[in-house]
Amino acid sequence: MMYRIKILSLLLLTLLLVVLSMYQIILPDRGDTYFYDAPGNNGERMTWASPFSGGYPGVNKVSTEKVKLYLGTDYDGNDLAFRISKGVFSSMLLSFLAAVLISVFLGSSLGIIIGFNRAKTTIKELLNHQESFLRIVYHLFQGTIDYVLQIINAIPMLLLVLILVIVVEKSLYDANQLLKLALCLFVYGLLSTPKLAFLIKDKINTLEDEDFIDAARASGISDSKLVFTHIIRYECSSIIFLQAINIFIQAIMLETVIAFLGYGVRQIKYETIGKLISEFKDYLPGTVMGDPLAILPIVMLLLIAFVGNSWSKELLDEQYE
Amino acid sequence: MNRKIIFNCVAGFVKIILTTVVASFIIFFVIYIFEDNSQLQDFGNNIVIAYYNWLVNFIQLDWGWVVRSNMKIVPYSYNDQSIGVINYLLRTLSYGAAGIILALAISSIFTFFAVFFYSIPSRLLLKILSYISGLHIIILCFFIKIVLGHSEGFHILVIFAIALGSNMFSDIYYYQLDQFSKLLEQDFITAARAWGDSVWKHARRSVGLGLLTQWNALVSTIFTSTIIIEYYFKVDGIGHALHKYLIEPNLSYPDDKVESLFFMAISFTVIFIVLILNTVKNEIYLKFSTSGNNK
Repeated sequence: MMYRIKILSLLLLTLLLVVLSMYQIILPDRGDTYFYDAPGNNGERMTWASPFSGGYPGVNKVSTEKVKLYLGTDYDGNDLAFRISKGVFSSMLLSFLAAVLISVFLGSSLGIIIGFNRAKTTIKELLNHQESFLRIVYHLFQGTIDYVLQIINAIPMLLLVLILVIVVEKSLYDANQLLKLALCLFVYGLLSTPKLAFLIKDKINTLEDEDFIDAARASGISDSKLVFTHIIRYECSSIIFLQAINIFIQAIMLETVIAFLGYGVRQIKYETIGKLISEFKDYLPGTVMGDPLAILPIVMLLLIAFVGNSWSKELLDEQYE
Repeated sequence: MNRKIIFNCVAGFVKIILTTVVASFIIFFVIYIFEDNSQLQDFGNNIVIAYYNWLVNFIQLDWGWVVRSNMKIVPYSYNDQSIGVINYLLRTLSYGAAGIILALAISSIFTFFAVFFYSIPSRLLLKILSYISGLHIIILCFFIKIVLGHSEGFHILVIFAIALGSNMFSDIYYYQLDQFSKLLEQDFITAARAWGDSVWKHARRSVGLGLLTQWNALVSTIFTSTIIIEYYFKVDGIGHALHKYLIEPNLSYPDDKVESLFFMAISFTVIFIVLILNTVKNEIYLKFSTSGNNK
């Protein structure tokens, strides 16, 4: 019963996140502007909409259309709900497309290459056993890839991403800021590849001695089917999924760190969670101009981290059982 | 036997050096390719030759200058006229080590009470702390600021923030919970408890192994977390140095060159130290786990 409640609440939270990120899409087209005559305009304090009031009435400054502003506006008169929704959506999409996809694809492929059919012998023994030339070359290739991944793993990720952010910011000054951020997250995805590759390699190594692998080989099943169906699909899918969630959350956090350090997206037309957090950090409760609403981007970041971590914990528990 | 140990040490050292050289080349490559007129391009038009020249200078302890403040970069500085990379690194490492020790101590003590004495407050506290640890360190910084309303001068909070805000607490806690739970089911533990013997004596080994198993992740999180924390709390260390000499000047004067030489010196040293720490850990772990099996 408790388990069901847990899963149900997690599903609800995930749904909430999806609805929040979709809010900016399902709204009627507001064009390029979301400036309003409403509380918060002209540098006034941000204001909560009272519960069940249906939001504050606002008037679009360009189209003079009347709208409801569910979270009021920020100091510049922007619709806060719209900004947060856009930020959540952009951050999640960017992290998924730029970091998760490349990391999962490369990590799985390289993990298979360095793990599968890897002779647990040295080159000297392979030569003594008069193995084919191709086999020896492949063994060397596996060793090289393994070593390269170890080297990439040794590079402190934040240091490399930090210098990349600064250098890219300078050299591609006029380029789209969202694209520059995507490039940095792409590099983060590349640097996260070794972790997944080593996890898959270890899993393959432990599976190699299992009876079902011998049985599959004896029944004449091809190597590709053995790898993709029996190993990756049935045995490694949870590892890949867990790692994907981890990279997804970490990429969003990294974007926040980049924005927090003063780089990242700054153009008005783009929103990310990091941009919102760094923009509102001077208005956090406890500061001179403190306002409770300024905590909302942080709450969104926490929500994403919480939902992601909870799903991975559930998956881990299921795996243990 | 001695010859074998010496051979292993030499081989390990050569591997560390090779890996450091290749890894720093990757960073060199990124700066060289992406930045126009960088300091690194002064070493040569060909990237490999430029890297070779930089490496030779680096080995000869000629680590270059910080252009904007016109200060010499040296391995260890004894005065204010030069920037010592190891000075910053030692402070970062000491904060990181203190964070690890704190995380390990809290996790070990409370997990021990939670598992062996079924202490509900300990279990509750650990659950709360592991959730806090699941947050990113930057969020923890924000919360400290919200609650305390300050961003500078809380040096002691740095250690707490590193311990709890860098995922390592959560990792250590889950590993130890698993180990202690397995230990609890062992017959010799039941016998020891029946005799009134101290269970902690048997649990100590799990504590050490827990630290070693998480070591690789810990070393990298130390640097990542400490850099952010130092930047936020303005504590002297690698993170503060990067902010002072790299991030802030580049934000203020975007047209100026990136302080590539300073960054390369820090990167090379950090990679080298991380690799040494990981290799030492591998050796200790091997000895530790083998001695346990022999028992």
